[in-house]
Amino acid sequence: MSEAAIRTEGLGRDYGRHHALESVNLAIERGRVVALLGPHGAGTTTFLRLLVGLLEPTNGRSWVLESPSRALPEQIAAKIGYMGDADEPPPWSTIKQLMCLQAESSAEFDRAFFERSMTARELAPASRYGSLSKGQKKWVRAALVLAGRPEIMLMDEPAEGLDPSARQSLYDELRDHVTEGEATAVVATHVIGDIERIADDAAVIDHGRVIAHAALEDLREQVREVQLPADEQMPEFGDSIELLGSRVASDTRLVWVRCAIGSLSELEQSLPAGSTVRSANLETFYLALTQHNSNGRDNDAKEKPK
Amino acid sequence: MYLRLDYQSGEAIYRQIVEQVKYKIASGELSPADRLPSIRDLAKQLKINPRTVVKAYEELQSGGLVVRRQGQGVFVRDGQAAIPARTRHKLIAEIARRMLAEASRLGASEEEVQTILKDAIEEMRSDK
Repeated sequence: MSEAAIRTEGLGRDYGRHHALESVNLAIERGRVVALLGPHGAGTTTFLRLLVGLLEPTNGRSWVLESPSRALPEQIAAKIGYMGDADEPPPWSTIKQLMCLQAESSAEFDRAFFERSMTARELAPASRYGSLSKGQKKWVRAALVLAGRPEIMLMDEPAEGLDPSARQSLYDELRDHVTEGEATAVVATHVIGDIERIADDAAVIDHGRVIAHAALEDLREQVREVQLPADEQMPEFGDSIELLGSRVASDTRLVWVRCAIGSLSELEQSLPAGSTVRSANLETFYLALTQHNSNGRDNDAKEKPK
Repeated sequence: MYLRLDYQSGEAIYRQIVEQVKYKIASGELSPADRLPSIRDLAKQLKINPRTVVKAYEELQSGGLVVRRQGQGVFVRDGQAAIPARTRHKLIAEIARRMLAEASRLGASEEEVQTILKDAIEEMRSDK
């Protein structure tokens, strides 16, 4: 059970002088759905491409199902369903051709599921890929990956351009396959709302680094957003409360903290009068982390001379 | 078994399952000897990790509300009159106090809270 489905050690990739990804150490357990979050250009795409061996790392190594990404044996590669951000099938191919092609490369191909998915979106087998809308293309590609019933799914922005109901069905199908097939999924996205419902863990990448990797159940119980009056000093927190980020909005200061289990009352006690505490969600957590690393710091710096 | 999950409530999903099953037992919607959905079925229905369901069921079991019978599933424990009325009363009063404290912090008036509560009851009725 605890065997890692995906593992990286000091994984990094440079493009010239630019560090697209820097020394990532990550272990992803089997049976999890991981939301890989990050702003555009943060390194999520590079990370996925390194995992499937489409890119050579500059530093470090990675393994998928215990096999090194740089030389995945064919039988392991067949267990991986990868949906890249840009690897488009030829525009002249029909949906049916794409299906047959995929069915050849995956022994477990679930044709009935694929056909059902196409009917659900009123897509005819004879339609040419190039004639589809952006959302329809994503839908076809995601359905091809899911129908292959892979043990590992690596998907880069699979829901981008899909309408809300398609997005929901896609994520539902993905979740069901992970549960049924004891599979593992890593889904890179910058749209947080939908993935929060089905994900088990979140990994946040910013500026080429993994700045957080946590179970959403823990976040729900432990992360809080605190609103302080702007003229208040930053309160002193005890050891059981970790400061995640802070930001000054018009007349208030927002602070995000992670409280060890059982220390929520301690948090309330250390706050000045007029503060409010709200439960956080994945989006709040994400903002706290990414802003802390960029403009959050600037805001704090600007404020000091007062 | 219908459960409604709130992903942004600041409460872990397994806790929400525990609380809602407790409520269903207390309200009589679930009776002694009723079988809870299997772990896999509930996980699929709610689109959550099976381990989250396991955690919720374990918590219900250690609280004495349900019992696991090998190979048959998880059942509402019989022989106990669900929750004694007094305990139930205390449990709900505690939840109400917590809710009121939160509501007043958000600046809600008494009437507003009452309206919200009434609406929530209506909503639950229509969901059944």
